[in-house]
Amino acid sequence: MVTEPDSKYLIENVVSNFTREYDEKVQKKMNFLLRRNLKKPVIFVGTGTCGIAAGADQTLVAVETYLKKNQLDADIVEVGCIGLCSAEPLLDFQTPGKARVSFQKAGHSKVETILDECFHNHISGNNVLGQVRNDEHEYWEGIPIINDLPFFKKQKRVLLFDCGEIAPNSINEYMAREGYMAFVKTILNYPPDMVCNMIEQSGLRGRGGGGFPTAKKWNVVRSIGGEQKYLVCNADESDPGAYMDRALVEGNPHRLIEGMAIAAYAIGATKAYVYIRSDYSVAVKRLKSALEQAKENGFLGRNIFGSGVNLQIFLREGPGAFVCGEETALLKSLEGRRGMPRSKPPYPSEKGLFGKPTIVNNVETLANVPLIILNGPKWFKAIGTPESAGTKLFALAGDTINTGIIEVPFGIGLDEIIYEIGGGLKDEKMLKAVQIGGPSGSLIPEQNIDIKIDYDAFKAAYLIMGSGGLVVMDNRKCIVDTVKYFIDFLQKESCGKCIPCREGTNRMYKILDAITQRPDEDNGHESLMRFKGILQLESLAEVISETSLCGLGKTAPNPVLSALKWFRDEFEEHIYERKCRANVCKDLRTYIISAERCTGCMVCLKKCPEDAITGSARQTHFINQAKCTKCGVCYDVCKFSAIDIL
Amino acid sequence: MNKIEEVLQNFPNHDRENLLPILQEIQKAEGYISEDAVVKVGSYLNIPTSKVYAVSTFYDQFRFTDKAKYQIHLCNGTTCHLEGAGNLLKAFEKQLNISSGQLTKDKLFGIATKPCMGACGMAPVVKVNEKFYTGFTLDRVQELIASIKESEGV
Repeated sequence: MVTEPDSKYLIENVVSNFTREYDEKVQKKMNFLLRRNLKKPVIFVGTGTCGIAAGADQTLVAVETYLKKNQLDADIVEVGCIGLCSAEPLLDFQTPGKARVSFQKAGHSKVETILDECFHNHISGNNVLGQVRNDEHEYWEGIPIINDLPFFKKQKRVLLFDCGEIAPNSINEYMAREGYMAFVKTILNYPPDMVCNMIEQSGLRGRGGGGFPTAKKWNVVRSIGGEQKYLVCNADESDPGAYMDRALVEGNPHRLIEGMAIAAYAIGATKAYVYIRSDYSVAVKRLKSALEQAKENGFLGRNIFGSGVNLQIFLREGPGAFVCGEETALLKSLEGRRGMPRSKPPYPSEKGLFGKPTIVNNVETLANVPLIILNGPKWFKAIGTPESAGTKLFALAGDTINTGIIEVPFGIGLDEIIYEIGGGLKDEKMLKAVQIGGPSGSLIPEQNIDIKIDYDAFKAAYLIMGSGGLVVMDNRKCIVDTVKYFIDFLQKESCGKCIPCREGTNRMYKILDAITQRPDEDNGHESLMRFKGILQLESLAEVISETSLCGLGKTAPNPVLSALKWFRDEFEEHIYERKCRANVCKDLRTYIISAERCTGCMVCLKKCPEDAITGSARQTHFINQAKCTKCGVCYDVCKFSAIDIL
Repeated sequence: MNKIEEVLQNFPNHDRENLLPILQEIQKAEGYISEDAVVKVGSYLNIPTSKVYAVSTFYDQFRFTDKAKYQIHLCNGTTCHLEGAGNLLKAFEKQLNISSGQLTKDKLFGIATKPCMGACGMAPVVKVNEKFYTGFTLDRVQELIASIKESEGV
């Protein structure tokens, strides 16, 4: 493990805005933290949740074993994720004087080969992702620069630039990179209204999904005088398929703490809460230790750096309820109650946590704050579009070649994200649709893929940006099944307070489920009834969205409506032809044995759990459709591809 | 002193806002929320037992039955679903002859679906206790169960 040098000189640097001249000793320490003029090699392993899932913990053990076995001296540093999840586990190597090289898919079995090459100063190019641009270092020959790779080239990594580079468990590394400088500068020099003004000028909008101007919210609470106020950071990211906040917290928890500290100062709150999903065990652990470090180094507590500012930050683990992403539900949960939303107004900014004025901000919003203070509102405003300033994180998942966390400036086209950053679709398949904004977001069909990422462009097209889930679907995916999945998710997560949401989503699920099942009777009347269900979906959607209290209910019908708008033919196909063109809806499949290819090996006959296959040795087999339960076992076991799915 | 009382001691403040943290600590210590725990927490925080139960059942995290030795979690995120997590769940259920949310009689295995674990790049994801299995396929279901059974000598 890296030993942490004394941090006093760093705090002095931060307080003096890095204007101090360094003596030799300090310079040496700074070089160590900034990884300039290394004394010995450093091996970085990306151990975010996604890295661990891909086997980074075993890679870590393999690295330690390798060093011990070969008696080599090197520092091992655990870092967050650079965002390219499809290349995990990632291992980086930096040797004195040379540029840092990244290796992809570095599973534990590959460690020995990779490190052998590194320590012998000859990298053959296997498993190499790229090298980090830094002109102080000598570059490796024939290895691409990481930032020139298609995945990174179109990104604008403002928030993510140090994720995967610095050790998240080291406050010293963050401070060496001007961390906490924005906070100290703010409390010593800027009055709260000036901070709010700076945020207003920057044009920062809430990244949780709504896109509400952050400064507007802050100003309401700031102008309420006197009493106790609270700041709450919403890190209860429960959208399936979205993990931007987790990546930010795992990559650099200190930036979030600094952002919260500035925000709390600006609104006059002395107590702040982070409400983070308990499932994010790695992020929770890192955030906890980061909070401890911030306290030890005097950035949290009483009378911070003699400014008279007090601030405590408490960490609360969200026990898992999707609806707690809604701010009033989140506050109820913090108070120790069932997380059920209440009607607004009064807004939390007037009556929030424990009845006191409260600001609820998303992780990504708060992480932007220190950067705005540090670089100025003009710098921030210049990124993106005039109405939507800055960058947005997305969790790119699904059928693109590259998947992971990306950060793009507002104004970029969705097609650029998919075909350039995502590298196009896997297996040369055709794009069918993109689901944006999680389960209550919308489907964007292939023909509208040139839409720009921008709050107002989305609003004009009746779309929801959401918090940043982006699931790409190719033509092997069934739209009806996908929508059914979202509605199932929402009906389970509905808190049950508003009847239209509780019962309506359940009804919707049943209608959708009915059309993905084979009907009991095969007559025209039944098809008509099923189609009537589809017609009712639209009026049901209207009732749910108009009569529900919170965002969950209001947006719940979105996936159904957008699917009906763009993919109505697929619904009709499911009803009339009982066919799922993507072959996803199992119950609608018909398995048939091809007489030409069947060799009569009897394997499927023996494996069929329902005894639905008849035949004898070396004779073509036959499936009895009345008995077949469409389990697909015969299809999986046939070695001659003799079973066709209709 | 039992584990529940030990946990309660760490919360000298009897405010209701401590309810969820206390329940989380108890689950960490005991593995689940017992009837005894609900009653004790209620009297400690001066909240009716029914309310403690109402709050704890609202959230996914809390469990009211003992934990299996090998808890199999299937990610139920969007990407995992699209990549066939539903079929995996059915296969696990069939293999162990229990349904999601239950555990086997010998308490060796339990199956549960989990909301998105955030490893979408490697879908579908299966997690057994703390160990991840990525890009999971149907034919590995039997293999996984068999290897665990073997290591347990069952």
